[in-house]
Amino acid sequence: MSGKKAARRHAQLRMEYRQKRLERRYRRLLSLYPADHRREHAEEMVGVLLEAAGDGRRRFDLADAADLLAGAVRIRMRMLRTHLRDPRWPGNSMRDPRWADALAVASVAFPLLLVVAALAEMGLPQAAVSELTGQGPGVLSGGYLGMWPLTFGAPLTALLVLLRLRRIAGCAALLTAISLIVMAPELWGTYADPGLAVAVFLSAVAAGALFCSPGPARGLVLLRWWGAAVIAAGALIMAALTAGTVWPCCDWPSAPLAQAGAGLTSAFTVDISVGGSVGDDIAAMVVVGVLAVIALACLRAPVSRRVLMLLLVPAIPYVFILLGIFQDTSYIGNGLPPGDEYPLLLLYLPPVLLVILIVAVARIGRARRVPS
Amino acid sequence: MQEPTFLILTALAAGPQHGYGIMTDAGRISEGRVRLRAGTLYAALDRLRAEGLVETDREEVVDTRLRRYYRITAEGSARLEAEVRRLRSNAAAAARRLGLAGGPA
Repeated sequence: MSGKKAARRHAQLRMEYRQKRLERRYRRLLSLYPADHRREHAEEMVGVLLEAAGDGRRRFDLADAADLLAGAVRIRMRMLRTHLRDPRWPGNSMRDPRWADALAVASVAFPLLLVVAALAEMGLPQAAVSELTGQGPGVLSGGYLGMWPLTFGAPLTALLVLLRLRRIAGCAALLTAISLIVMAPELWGTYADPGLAVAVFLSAVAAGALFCSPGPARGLVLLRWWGAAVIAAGALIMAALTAGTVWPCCDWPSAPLAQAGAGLTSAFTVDISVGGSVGDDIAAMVVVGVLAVIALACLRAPVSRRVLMLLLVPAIPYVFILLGIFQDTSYIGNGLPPGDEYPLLLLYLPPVLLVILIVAVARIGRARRVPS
Repeated sequence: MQEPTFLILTALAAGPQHGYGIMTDAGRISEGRVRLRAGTLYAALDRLRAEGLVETDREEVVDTRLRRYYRITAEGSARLEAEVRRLRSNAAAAARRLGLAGGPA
């Protein structure tokens, strides 16, 4: 009798063990569901799954498992779709209003700076003038379209910003950043180019600012009439760079003027701004001046300290370009290794660390403001 | 309307039911052709609740397990009714063309 009792007890314990194991497995699968859904339905679903498994069958059903997996995917996809359709998305991701405003200013300034960088990189205005004057390599020759991530990405982003199409502009800026990174080995031959680094950080921060802030509409309000100054500065830089071509400066290797007067050329030219061979000292100074105007315009905004922090991100690699302007015809006048041996870490790591710091500071600020 | 959705709304049209009840009822309604599983059921319920077609009726605890009952809303009934009309019209058209009994001559 006691043997039968023990056997029954043993069978019951075994069944309970199997049930617990089954429950554990189902719970593991339910962990794939979104947290909100789990909170609402997990207990209920476990109950239904165990009830469906029945007393006589305690095996883990693979079809149930596949169905749970498919259900988790469906619910997550639906949540994603709802999230994307949210008109506030993703502008609601920066809830600290001070950082949201700083990013709004950056969402105007950075795409314009990117246009300046693109113009300097490509020397496109000079090419246009050289086409007209018959000097230099001519417009759209010499690989200007080869810089396509900048050729198309920068003006497109700036145009969309001025049209106040925040999210589309953000996508354009993000695509520019990605294509710059992906195409750099082919188009620039190296990542170790300060101009490339500046363009990458400008487009990446522009994308972040456009996605995580109220965008250009708010940015232009904050910039007040200085906003117009920023736009004017963009036009000014184009004019300045265009004017550069009529000076005796071309250091394009194929340019007849450069070949004819190499001595004169070397006396006047420097490799400036954003990596390209653009023009002469005066043009370089104009570039720096216009960039300073844009920086000042941003600093006049009510959230100037935060804007300054954001501006520091592309400014770090830009410092190396300035070193090149003021010291020598290369970026490495100060004993730094030449050309493609330029230290990648020095160009990319400090700005990345700064971005991480900014995100951390913004989050701490938000936590302080929202004590929950 | 997808079949699981149709079966869930049909199951709830008779009155509030909990998850396992809906699953077994769906099997009965489809004469065993469709076996609704928990993943499909709760993904559908989640969507139907978001669309306002079903809502929570009440909650019970049975054998330490939570049991939540769902009921169809007026909007859910209207949607199901529209679907029934659509299916009936399609079925009638198909029957007519096939010359099956039950279809209008």
